[in-house]
Amino acid sequence: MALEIKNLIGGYSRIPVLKGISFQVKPGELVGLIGLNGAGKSTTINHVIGLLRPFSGEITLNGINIQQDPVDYKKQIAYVPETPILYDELTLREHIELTIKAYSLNTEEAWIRARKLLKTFRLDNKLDWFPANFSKGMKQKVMICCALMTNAKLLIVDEPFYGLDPLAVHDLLELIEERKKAGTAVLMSTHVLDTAQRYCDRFVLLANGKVRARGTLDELRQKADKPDESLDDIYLSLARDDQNE
Amino acid sequence: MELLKYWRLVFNDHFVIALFFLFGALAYGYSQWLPQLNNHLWWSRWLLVLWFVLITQVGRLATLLKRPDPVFLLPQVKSISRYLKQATIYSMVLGVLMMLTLAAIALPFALTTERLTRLDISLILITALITKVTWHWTARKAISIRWGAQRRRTVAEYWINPLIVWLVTWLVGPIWGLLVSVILLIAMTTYYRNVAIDWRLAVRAEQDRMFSIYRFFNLFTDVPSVQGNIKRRRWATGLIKILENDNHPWAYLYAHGFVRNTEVSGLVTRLTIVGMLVVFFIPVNWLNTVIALLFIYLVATQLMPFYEQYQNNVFTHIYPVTHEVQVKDFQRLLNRVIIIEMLLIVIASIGRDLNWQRLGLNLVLGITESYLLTKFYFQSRIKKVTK
Repeated sequence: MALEIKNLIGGYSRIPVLKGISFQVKPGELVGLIGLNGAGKSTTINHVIGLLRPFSGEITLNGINIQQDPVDYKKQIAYVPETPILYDELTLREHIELTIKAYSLNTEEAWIRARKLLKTFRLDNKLDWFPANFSKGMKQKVMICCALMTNAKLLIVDEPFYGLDPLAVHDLLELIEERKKAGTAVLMSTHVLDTAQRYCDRFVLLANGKVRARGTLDELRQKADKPDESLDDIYLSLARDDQNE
Repeated sequence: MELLKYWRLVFNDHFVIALFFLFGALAYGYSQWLPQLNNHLWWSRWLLVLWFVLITQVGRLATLLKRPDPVFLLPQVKSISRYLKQATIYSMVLGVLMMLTLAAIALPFALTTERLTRLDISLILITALITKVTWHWTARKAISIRWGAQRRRTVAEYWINPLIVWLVTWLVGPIWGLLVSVILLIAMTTYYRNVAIDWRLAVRAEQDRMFSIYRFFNLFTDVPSVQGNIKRRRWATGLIKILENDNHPWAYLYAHGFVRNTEVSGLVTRLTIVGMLVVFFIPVNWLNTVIALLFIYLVATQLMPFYEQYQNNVFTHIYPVTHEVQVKDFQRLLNRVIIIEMLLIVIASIGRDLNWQRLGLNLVLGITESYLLTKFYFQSRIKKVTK
């Protein structure tokens, strides 16, 4: 088991947003984290990347607990945030150098990987640009390159589909597929359900800080009692159920 | 009201002590300097003219207009012109008060170099008042539809009107200066009568004013609306190399950020240059040493908030690097910058008289101070921040 979340209760201040969440992400698996605005997707991700401290419950990654050994835990994760965050003072080349230093990567191997990624996203001729000159989509691509050039065992992608052009979305999904084959666990939060349906192996549906349903598409269909529906419809019916409750 | 909040941050305890010393030193230097002057130095009158023209520029027209105002207040033509009249009068009162205070500083000097009666002094102060009122009328007509476009003419009037008044005052006589200032006031107010507001210019002028105020506050604390620019500075690659540390991400980030962020490095550079100039020109040994140490302290305290520069970036929390390493790396940057700055100030403290003894003393004390600042003072600041 790569990522294991057990009974996580957590949030920003004293009031818990997450009320006992448990799920796992296995190596080589893409899990889609799905839910309405305010369901707790971002909060969950913030706990997994170690920005927030759990009130109770446990998060482990390949047996390493985030509280007990934060450095070794953090070495294993790579993160692509929803809104790109870059250092204004660093060029693209320097962002990559910084990532190499931060994760103590082998410089040559990391640069080979980075150049390949940059070429895919058509950024290889912009190495000396500053973030101020990048469009939002380009910044997003820089974030993806920096995350994918590491050897992370868990890749966390927060809503990747807005701001990227269709070609880039396609390339990203292909890269994720590649990493999955190499044994990386991937956790992705998104609202774009038809894409999620096609690419995710399993889903975790969040509602009101709890796991509403989880499993493969077929398992979800069974749960909602809608054998042929798309993820979109299943999700809508489950969400409506909650509202009526 | 918002400005009060910032003033509180400017006058934090350490800074008040530093200011106290700086003003004390300036006042002391001034009082030492006056008796050395003899009457009728050829430049004393010109210096007075220059001083008075400069202080006439202090205190701007505060309209407090904001960007949405043209949209929401457009129909309120009558009340706006009434409001602007009040705002102008308010700014005039403040400006005149500031100007009179600054003029008072020059009076001891004027009394030693010139022969002035009590009547002369009151005439000069009245002239100052009238000149400032004229200056504010210039500022007021500069944001009007009718006259706003003539920017060059406005700038000329800002400077040439006071120049004429003060030249006449100091070279011909205070009574004539007063006469000229009254004539100018009447001329300006009768000629520029139609001053209906130009919203675009008025809002921009107010924004400029606020920006310069914020930039001042930004020297002491973070003002959200003022953000430093980024400059590549290829020539400084060597400096970045000195400041960074192999394979340490934080050292890498801090070194690049420090050199390229014009706000931080600009502040340090400006303070260092001012410090170098001051210690170069102060011949009193003990004062020289105190000022040198003071400037080293100032730069160090101004640089310390840079530690938190990247706290808002998620990635700094995600990197597998411990907090201790970050503190160490910043300490390293702080140490190197302070040492470089300390050496520059100490070298400048040799002064015009090439006093090696003073330089040696300053060097020893400077090294001790730098050590104490990075080792102990920074640690205690960090503890406060991370609490």
